[in-house]
Amino acid sequence: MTFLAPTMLWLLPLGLLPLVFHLFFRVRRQPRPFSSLMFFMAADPRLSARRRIREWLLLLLRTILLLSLLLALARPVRRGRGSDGAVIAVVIDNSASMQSAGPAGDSRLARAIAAATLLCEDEAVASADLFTTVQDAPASMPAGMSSDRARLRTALNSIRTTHAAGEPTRAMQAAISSVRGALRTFGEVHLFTDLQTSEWGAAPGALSLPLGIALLIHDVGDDDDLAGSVSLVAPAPPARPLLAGRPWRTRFLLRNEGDADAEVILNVQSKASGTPHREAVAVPARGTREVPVALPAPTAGEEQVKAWIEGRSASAAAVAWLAVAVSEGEEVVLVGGEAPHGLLAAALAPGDGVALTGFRVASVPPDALAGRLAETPRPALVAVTAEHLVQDVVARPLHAYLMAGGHALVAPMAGAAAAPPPLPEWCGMEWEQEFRDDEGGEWRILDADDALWDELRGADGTPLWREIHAFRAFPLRVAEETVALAGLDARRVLLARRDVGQGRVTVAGVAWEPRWSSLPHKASFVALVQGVALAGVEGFAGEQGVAGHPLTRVSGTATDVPPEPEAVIEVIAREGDQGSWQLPLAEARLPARAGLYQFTQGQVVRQIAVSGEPREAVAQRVRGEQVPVLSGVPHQIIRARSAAARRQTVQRLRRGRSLYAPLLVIAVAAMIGELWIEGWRRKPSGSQQ
Amino acid sequence: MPEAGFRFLPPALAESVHRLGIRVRRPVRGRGEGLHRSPEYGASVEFAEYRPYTPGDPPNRIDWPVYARSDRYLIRQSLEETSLVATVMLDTSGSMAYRDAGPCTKLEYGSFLAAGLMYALVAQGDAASLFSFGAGLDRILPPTGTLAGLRPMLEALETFTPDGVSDIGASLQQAADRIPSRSLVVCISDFLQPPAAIIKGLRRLGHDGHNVILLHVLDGGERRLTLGGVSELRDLETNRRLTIELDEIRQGYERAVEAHIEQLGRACAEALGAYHVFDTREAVESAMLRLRGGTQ
Repeated sequence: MTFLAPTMLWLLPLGLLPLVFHLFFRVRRQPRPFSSLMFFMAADPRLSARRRIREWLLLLLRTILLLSLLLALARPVRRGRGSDGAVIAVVIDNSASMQSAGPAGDSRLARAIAAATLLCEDEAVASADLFTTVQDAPASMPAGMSSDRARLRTALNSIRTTHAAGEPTRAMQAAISSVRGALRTFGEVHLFTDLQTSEWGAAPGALSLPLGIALLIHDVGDDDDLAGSVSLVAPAPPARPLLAGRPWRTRFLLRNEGDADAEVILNVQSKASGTPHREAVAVPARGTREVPVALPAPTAGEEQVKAWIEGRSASAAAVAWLAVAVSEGEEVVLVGGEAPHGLLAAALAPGDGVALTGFRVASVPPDALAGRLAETPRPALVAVTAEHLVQDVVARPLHAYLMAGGHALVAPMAGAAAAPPPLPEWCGMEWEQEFRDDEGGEWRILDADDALWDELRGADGTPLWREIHAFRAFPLRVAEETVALAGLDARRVLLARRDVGQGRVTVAGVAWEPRWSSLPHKASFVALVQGVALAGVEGFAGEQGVAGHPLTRVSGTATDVPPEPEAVIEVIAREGDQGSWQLPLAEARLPARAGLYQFTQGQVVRQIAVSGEPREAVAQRVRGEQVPVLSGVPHQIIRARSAAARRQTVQRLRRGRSLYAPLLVIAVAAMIGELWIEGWRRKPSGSQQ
Repeated sequence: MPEAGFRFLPPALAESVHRLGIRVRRPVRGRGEGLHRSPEYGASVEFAEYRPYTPGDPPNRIDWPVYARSDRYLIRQSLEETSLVATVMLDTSGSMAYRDAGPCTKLEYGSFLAAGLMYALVAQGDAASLFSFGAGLDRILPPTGTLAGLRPMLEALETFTPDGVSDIGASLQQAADRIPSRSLVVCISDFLQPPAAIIKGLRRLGHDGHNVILLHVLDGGERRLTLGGVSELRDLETNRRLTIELDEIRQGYERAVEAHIEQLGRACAEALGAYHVFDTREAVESAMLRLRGGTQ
């Protein structure tokens, strides 16, 4: 601030005259004795406090009046940040909500880029740096401050909207650091955003703004923009591998964040379908709607599904992808032929084919098991009887197969009259004394939460497992690491599972024939043995994630990426936006746009289906003059309709302004306030009552 | 006539109140014959009632003319007339030191009233005692019925200094405990206390059969504020301070004072007493003439 008539500042102490007079008379005034204050208090007991407040208020107003008049005489001018040599950082919000467009068809991002381009071309700008709230590999951002206008323009034009939510704090921190590093005279950080509450209405981030840097928020959103409120949640992958040639179903969840019911068109397109499935869906306000969709039969290999929604209420980020492996059938090996395994083969592959269950049963002589397990693809399950397991030609290769991640199912031999021989030590289980009961002892589930029962669960989540009896059984004595799945009671376990190396073995205390148990005649037997076999099928459904999220947050198997800070991950876009790029491992994130991607780091290859960010469906925007995320730092919001108006506002802020008129207005306001209080004071007390 | 030299009973005052004639409304119990009605029957000329003759009555008390007319033996009874013992209570609390519009403080004015009253009572054959009070009774001077006996009371009046807080209600209660029933109690005070406590004391005195006279002494500047503008006032009894715009509160204040006076007057009337307001600007001699007749 500067003064055009600084000599008038010498008169400033006169502004304290009211205070001096007040204190002087206060010292001089002696209290007057009076017989009693009783009647004064009876007249108005609050009078004294009210009078004191009024007195101080008058004193304050008089002081303000004098000080503002004296300051106005000194003609103060608030100097702007400057007229040239500005170092600026431009932050563009390229989150999904910036795709929302107004009636004229111009998107928020287009408005932001137009205004930012105009700003960067201003003569006052010495150099500029660009940032986006969503890290987007295909965008070509300058590496630091640049004074090359053409390059800045190119970089701005390369910014496209994404399907992800922005990271306000990270982007602002980077922009402030860039300006601080290049600061000469003054710096500015310009943020162009739609101020969507889901991103900018959150709790304040850890930001600090150094002196000399101004933070200007350009609100490019408009209430007339078509901003969708319905989001599409990526569908969960199927529980078992898809079979080639068999139609399948999946479910899509639509969520409406708005206060009004919405109708959208759900489009689902799979690799097998060609034309998309289209369906109008009504979603209640603040509610969800689950839509089941039947999909055509895929071919063997991989089935890819893309879903998106259309309509006035559809969020720009409402795109979901799903990739599932399509199998021609998984193989289950029965050691020693089908007969020793009772009805197991019929339950795994009824009808003698893969068409119904996706499993193919192959019988292998005991001495050929080692050869089969050495082949690829590896069988999903090896079923073996306890009688065969005592043979070294079976036990040795089976143990190696389990240690490498295979799955085995062990049971007594069907038709055997004698007790089964002891189990190998690595099974961790032993046969107990034989159980016989012609009436049958009832099977009970001992661990209802185990995933084995998932396909047997009813609507209330409990497994449908009733009236299954055992007539003859050899209960299992289980070790500590063994999971007891079912049995006659907690001490007489008939089905248990144990991890062996990277694989697992499931042991049954009954043979799979009706003379031992009623289970093989029940429908739940089919689900049970298929559940055991399915546990051996891994990786049929690729991983899933949300655009822009950190790579470690991807659902599915744990990341195999070793902790090497210098390592890079190569990303290949398989579907969606094509291209490939590399990411530092430390900053590895899912791409900003929905699609199917392959991440390669060394020998590890991961297939990830990336869907849009459901949070971007929130249409509400920050309305006040403070942005909650930035509430820790001073900032100013510019709400102008055109890019030129925005530039004019910025230029005016840089120039500065005279404070003469505002001070006069303050003086007049203080005078009016004083007169009003005086008038109020002079009213007789009777009229106040 | 008292000898000159008593500050609060100058000759002019004594002269003006010498034949003031203070009377009471309710019967009193006195020491001997006097001017006031007694609750007992006696031998005065004042007829009270007839009662039937009962054996044992002296025959000379039979009203024979009545017998001649009615053929009934009736005894004629007369009222007894007695002197009274009055108690003059004088407020000596701090607020009585106030003086603004009047020529003297309220305590001085009250002392003139007390001296004049006591003199008038003794002069008409009654007896008077003097109590001073503040938060409670302070000095108690026993009753006297002679002019010579008034001397210590008149001297005591000159020694009183206004000080402390007042509790008029409690003082009236304490006085009621000490004074025999059916007498005259005169209370001289500025009555600056919420009326409820005062009224309670008044009712107690009324219940004991006393004739009560309240002499409310006010400075002219108390009833009609002479001060103006912003002032910081200090309470003479509590020393509490209050900065106030007097012009602003004048109406409310005067209304509160008048309401207080009205409330006391009404309470006094209910207790069959008399209530008089004195302005210190008024000459004591002329003001005391208003007491002619006492509580009647």
